Amino acid sequence: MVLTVRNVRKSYGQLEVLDSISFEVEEGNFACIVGESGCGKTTLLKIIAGIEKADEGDILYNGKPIRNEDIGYVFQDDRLLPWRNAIENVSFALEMRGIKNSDKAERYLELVGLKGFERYYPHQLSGGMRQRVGICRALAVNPKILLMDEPFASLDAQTRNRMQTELLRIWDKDRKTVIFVTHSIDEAVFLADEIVVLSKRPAKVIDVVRIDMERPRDRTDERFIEYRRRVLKHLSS
Amino acid sequence: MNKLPSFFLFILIWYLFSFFQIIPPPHTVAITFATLFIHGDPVLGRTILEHSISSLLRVLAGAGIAFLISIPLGISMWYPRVYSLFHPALEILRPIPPLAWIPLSYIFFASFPRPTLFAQIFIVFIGSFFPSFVAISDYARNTPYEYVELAKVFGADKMKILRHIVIPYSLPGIITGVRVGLGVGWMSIIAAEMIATSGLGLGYFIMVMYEVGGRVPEIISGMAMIGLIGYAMNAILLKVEERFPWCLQSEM
Repeated sequence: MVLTVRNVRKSYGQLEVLDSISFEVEEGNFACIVGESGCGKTTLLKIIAGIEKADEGDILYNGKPIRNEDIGYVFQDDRLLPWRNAIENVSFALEMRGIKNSDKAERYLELVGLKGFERYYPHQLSGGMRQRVGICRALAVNPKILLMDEPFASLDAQTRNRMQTELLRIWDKDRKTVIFVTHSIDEAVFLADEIVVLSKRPAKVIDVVRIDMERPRDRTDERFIEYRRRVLKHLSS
Repeated sequence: MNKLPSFFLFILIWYLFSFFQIIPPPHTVAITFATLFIHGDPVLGRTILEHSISSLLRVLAGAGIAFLISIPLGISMWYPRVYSLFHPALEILRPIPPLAWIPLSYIFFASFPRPTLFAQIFIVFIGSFFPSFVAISDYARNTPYEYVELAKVFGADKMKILRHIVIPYSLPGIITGVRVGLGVGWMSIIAAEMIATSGLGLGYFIMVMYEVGGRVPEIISGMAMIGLIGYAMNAILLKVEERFPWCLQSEM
């Protein structure tokens, strides 16, 4: 079981965004994609999700073109629908996919620690809580691959660290394949099994860094810092 | 907001005008109004409430038909193809005021069993349709792409996007459209009633009071009733509108 990104190219008119991107993610791995802002990380993620078309190249899951049912998506902004409360926002994804809700939405909200907030509307929830609902929505459809686009970028540093730990706790339960886009190297080293480092636009894969550290990781550990240094060197060159 | 000072200022200015004998003073009008409410008018023998209800029913009929068309049509403006098919034509029809439709509609409905009634309902329809259509289509067309993208990422087709994104997003626009449409419809019925005999109705009542010899207190009472009803309809729907946290700024 493997996700393959093969020779993906994408341009917007004259602007070349992705220049032949290739990498693989093994089943159950947590992969982070890092790169500078505006290097095309989000575009790549949208191509994997099938909401943007690549000019060239393929996205394969076990050798076959990836299907919409295989993926769950978490947006950078929480993107909750303001007219639906927390539980209705989670069941939105189920309705779109035509999946029977039963108590799925409720169970997942409990899993992310939002029991008791089911009937709250997005404007009544904090930024961290809204993003949890967003994660919940993506998990509820039981995807094979979870795509996350800088989901914690708009949170303050402390909430962000807490959400990272929380995400690993949830991920550890069923170990879905995750592709997590971020521009924070610290976040990537903390979360990932492997980090796909992209260059400036037009983006190419510069390096794939495997992080061989047990979790939970200590951000002040020497090895942690060594990994950070390695990724950083790619990005600053 | 405390509305009392504004109200008192209005009464004060009114008294000022009545002092120069331009119009009767507020208390004279108030007495006339009360008489009209309880005993009815001296010519037609109907109370002002009966006139009001008659006008209101025509507005509800005309505006109701208008909304039955403007809501689905406004929502479907989300599809660029439908928009480009309808919008240019509607933009030419839109600036024609409801009043300009009066002669044509009386001719058009002349062969109907109750031509006046049908013509008046049609004029209200014209008055209500365009403002409600504009308010609703503005929302539908401005449905944030982010929400559409969200639906797509979870596999929604066009129909599901329309039903679960465009329509709920446009709900405040529908409320605004109904509010503004009723307001313009209300103004249109008064005008339509002034032109042709309808036997009952606030506009007709004002016109009759004018024609029997300029009964100013009655005329002003009728105008006051128009204002009060229009205000009440607007206020109720504004309250409903405030419940939506994603409201666009409406200036109408």
